[in-house]
Amino acid sequence: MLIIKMALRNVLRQRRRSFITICSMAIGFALLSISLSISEGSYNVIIKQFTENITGHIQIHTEHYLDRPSLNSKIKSPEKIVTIIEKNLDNPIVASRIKGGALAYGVKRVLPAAVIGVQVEREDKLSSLSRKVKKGLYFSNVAEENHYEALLGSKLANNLKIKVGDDLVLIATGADGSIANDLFQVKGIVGSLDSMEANNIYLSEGGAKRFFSIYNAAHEIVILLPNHNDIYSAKDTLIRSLQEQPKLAVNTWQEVEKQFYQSMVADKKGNNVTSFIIILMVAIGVLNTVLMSVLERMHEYGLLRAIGVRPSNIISLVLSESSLLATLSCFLGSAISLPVNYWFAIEGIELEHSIEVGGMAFNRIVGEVSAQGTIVPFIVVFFTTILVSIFPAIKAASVPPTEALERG
Amino acid sequence: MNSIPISKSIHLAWRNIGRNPRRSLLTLLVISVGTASLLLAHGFILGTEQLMIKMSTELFAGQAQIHHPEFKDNAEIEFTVPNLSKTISAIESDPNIDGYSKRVLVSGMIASAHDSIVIQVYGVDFANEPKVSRLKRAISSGKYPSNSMERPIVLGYKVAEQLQVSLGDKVVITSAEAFSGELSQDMFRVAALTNFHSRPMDNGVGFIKIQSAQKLLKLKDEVHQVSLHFKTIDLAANKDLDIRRTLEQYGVLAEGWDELFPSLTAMMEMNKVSISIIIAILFALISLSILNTTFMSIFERMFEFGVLKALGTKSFSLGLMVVLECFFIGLLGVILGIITGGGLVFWFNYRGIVFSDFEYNGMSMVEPIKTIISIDQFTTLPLLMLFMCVIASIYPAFHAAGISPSQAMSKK
Repeated sequence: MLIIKMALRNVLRQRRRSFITICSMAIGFALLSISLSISEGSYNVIIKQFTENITGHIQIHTEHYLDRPSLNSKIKSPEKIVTIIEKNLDNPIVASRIKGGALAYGVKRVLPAAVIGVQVEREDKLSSLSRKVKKGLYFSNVAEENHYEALLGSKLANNLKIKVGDDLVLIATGADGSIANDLFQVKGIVGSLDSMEANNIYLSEGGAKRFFSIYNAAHEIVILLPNHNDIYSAKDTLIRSLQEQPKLAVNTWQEVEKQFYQSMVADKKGNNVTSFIIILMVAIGVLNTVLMSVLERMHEYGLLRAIGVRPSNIISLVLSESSLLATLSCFLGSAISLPVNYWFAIEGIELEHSIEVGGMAFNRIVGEVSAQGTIVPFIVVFFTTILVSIFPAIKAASVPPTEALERG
Repeated sequence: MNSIPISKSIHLAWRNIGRNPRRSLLTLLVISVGTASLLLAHGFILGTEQLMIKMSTELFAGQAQIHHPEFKDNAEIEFTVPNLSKTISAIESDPNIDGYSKRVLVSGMIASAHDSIVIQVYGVDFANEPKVSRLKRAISSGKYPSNSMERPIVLGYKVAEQLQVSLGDKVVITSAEAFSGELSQDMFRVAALTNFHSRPMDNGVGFIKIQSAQKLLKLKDEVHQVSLHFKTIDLAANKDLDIRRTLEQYGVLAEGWDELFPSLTAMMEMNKVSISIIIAILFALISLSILNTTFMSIFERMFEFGVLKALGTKSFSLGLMVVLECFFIGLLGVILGIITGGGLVFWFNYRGIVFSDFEYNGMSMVEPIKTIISIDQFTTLPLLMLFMCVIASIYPAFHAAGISPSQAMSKK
């Protein structure tokens, strides 16, 4: 306690110097916190967007489907697998999909499109597809009726010049090699021009099965977990419980969107270099302050030694002073970074042109206010300060009492 | 009152730096780390920009493109380049353009015995294409086709994997004809596979001869796109070239890479902001460091300042001395920064920074990012840093100048 009291007094002795040092450490803290907030925030928003809209947290395919998606790489009896999943995980949302490609006929135009056959009710729970219907309606719930209904991505609908209620002809090769050829009615238009659904065609499960001549099979089973932190444990559970199902691969979104994930990791590594340089500069500044104040007070330390204070106590004294500076600077830094992070979380910066990283389009820079955004900078600033103070502390502790007193 | 001559001030300031070498050294270190990181960041940002422009243009688009004015918003088969022969002769006679290639775009289904997928097929002039794009260099297996070959098709390796075809296998392309919308089909043989290290290109693109594409779409000697290569890449984005006006008269839309890739231009704008932010941050950190050091050294020398004042030295001279001290520390720091930062820029210019896990606009950064050496790194930027040091010293200088002799001398 005495040491802390002395440390506080020493810090207050040179108020201007302490204040300036605290300022530079606070800037370091705030920069770390803000850059962490922006990078985590922007990525988390995008991750939330595509896991909850498209990929889910975990997907199951046949082996190699992700590398080579083929109409014939089917999961047989998907219903059985879905039951196993629902039995082994806590409240997952599960839906299976049929995926293929087709040529879509519009007014005077033919365009290639991705066709996704969805389980009408389950898909809506998983990706809120019905909420993305901008014009028209979602699939009807009656299984026979919805076989000829289609939802169109808005960009595709624009390019094909097709409206709600129009006919849509799709042509593709079926799973059995036959020519698939069907007439659908456009029930609704989904998503905006730059959303991930923009170029897709959605059919009902029954419609897609008929169209592609696929029976009792699906290409993809998508699982959304109530809590995204459980991804890896859920994956392990699934691998164990699906052991008897041959040739299935369980992948997390990080593996499904591998390019994006790798880009994100690489980008974050790059950010770490920047943070390191900032912290290095702050650290040199702190070293300067602590070293100077130690050198100035060599006489005092000598005196302390002479009256029998142990070197370890002197080390604690110097380190306490630095810790005190670090703690104060973290408070000041939070006072700067919290409002900024809050603004970024609420408002953010809209980008004029979206930037595509690893296949995902970023159109806003957003931040987040999180415990991590305060704790990580705190740990970094605190430990860097302690680290650079060790040398001055040892110097202070190792002064021979006689010499220090003579100098005074 | 007498003032110290400037030369004397300089001499005094210089000597004061040496009085507490450790402190001066630490301050100097902050400045030099700051300068070095600024130079490196500048070189890295320029390098990234240049690499991204190079990758985007060389990948397949080319440095500039010509289209029917409506093709961009509405890629209909009928929107072919108007006045094609006049346009081509204008391009051929332009001294700034050293290569061009005509293209026809076909969207369709490609089918093998195993599977079928939808892809984008380009009808290209295989002889001219190497002048504008990386197509020939991207061939990973097989032989780059010549225009005399019968029905060759070049496929992205991922497309081939998905169709389960290899070199020499047959594939069928189905598409819709111009005007009528009738389906048309044709058979091709896989002549080569490409690996562009770009997902959209490797996953969903094929290349056939331009004549085959025209036949497939029932187009006469018409094309959708002409890709251009200029003598230097800056010319491609230059809006004042004569060729732009000529092409405009012919009713075609000519766009440089800056217009073709608005996200690149947006990124470059953002980079300018980033550099300013970096400078602002460095300014904050360096000036705090200088403030701290200068105040420390002023307080240590209170007595001396008091004596100088008592002897009749002008306040201005005292202030100037403090500013000069900071100037010299700044100068040394900046020089050290130029040496290390410049060295790093040169080193990474030679070695490059590998960033291959990063994928931007579908392209993996397979080539290392090479920092770019620019004259700014040795002139404007270091000068700016030095200027910051001097600015930061003004407040302590005023403080030193305002010292009252009696108070200062009584402190000892």
